[in-house]
Amino acid sequence: VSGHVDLNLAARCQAGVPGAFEELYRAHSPRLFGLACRLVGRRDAEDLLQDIFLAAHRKLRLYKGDAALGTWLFRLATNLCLDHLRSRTAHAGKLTDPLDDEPGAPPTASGPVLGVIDRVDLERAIDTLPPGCRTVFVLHDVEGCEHREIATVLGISDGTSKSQLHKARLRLRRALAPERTR
Amino acid sequence: MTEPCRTLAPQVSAYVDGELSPTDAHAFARHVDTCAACRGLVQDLQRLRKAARTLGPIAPASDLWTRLQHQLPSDPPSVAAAARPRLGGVWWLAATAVVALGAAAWLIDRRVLPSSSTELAPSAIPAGNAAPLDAVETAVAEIDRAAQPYAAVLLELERSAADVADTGLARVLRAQLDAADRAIAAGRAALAIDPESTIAREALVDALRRKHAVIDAAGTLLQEVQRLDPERAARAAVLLTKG
Repeated sequence: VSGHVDLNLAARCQAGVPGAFEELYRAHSPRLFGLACRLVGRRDAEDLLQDIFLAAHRKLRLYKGDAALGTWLFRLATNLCLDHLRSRTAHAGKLTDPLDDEPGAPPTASGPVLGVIDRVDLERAIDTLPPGCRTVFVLHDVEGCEHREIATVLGISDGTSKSQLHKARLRLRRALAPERTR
Repeated sequence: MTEPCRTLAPQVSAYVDGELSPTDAHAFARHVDTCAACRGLVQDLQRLRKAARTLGPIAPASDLWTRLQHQLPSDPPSVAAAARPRLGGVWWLAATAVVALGAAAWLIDRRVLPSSSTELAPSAIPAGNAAPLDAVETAVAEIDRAAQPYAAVLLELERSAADVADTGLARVLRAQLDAADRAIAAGRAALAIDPESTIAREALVDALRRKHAVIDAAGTLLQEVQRLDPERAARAAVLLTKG
């Protein structure tokens, strides 16, 4: 049923039915804006969201209904966010970056160090991550993507995606831990 | 910090995500039972993972849609006049189909479903099963015949891949016609098993009507788009997508 609804909405957008593209925007912009904020930062996210929907408007003819419209838009948005990041970083083409701590470094604390994690603190901590592991963390832990999908979109191996995720989690743990336990 | 920690720590995330093999997971769990540091790390990463999942969508500024709207092309891609001429040759097919549809609709109403949609009038059911089934098959054949010109139109639209709107609409049409065809096939199969089943007959009639409605809406849409009348084409598109 949802596939039928998606095809109908895509067709109505293409036919220029009044209100159809706004319906598409209202339904999907919050998730895509959240993605953009976390991947490229809030400052650039608004411009990027507009680019995402302008690209969607141009490319809707390529939507074949073989995935949910939300998934199609999410992929489009992810690619545009990554292009944006690549243009900002000195890394050519790849968004993996070495961290100063060894991947999978053994735990140093003698027990759990995190209490209740405040959302605002977590958003702020994510924002401080290096682009490579931040991207993997957002796509995997926030958006629920599989390592295989992430590896494909980033042009890296599954193993690299996993190690980047682990690095991101260790960094976030350290960033969110009370100072006395760091 | 122990040697097992050094070996097992890189697996913590995989353990938390349930990605370790049963053997590795078992070994890791045994270590965690005896190592407070690794147990603490597991608990923290589980907590972190759970918190990350709660980070939901973020609403963009309310005026962003207005700003975006100004940047969108003013002409809907579907009614771009420049794209039409090469499709001109197929419109007559759509027009001929409308005539055939009239006959098919008459057959559905008068021969397949004589008096009401809920019960067949006894007078409309001749002795034996052959006559009503013939009527059903005739109606199915008429609907199929009426749909043929549209199949040609759809093919033409699908070939013109550069035309943004037509390919999208063709996909919707194709999906709806396919759905109606599947329902018709199911209805025919049910009637073959039990020719006297009122439910099966009604299901088939309903499927035939649906196909008729899709074709009818498609005809309206194609004709309106042909006339390059954006507003009427848009209204027709709404009718079609409701089909």
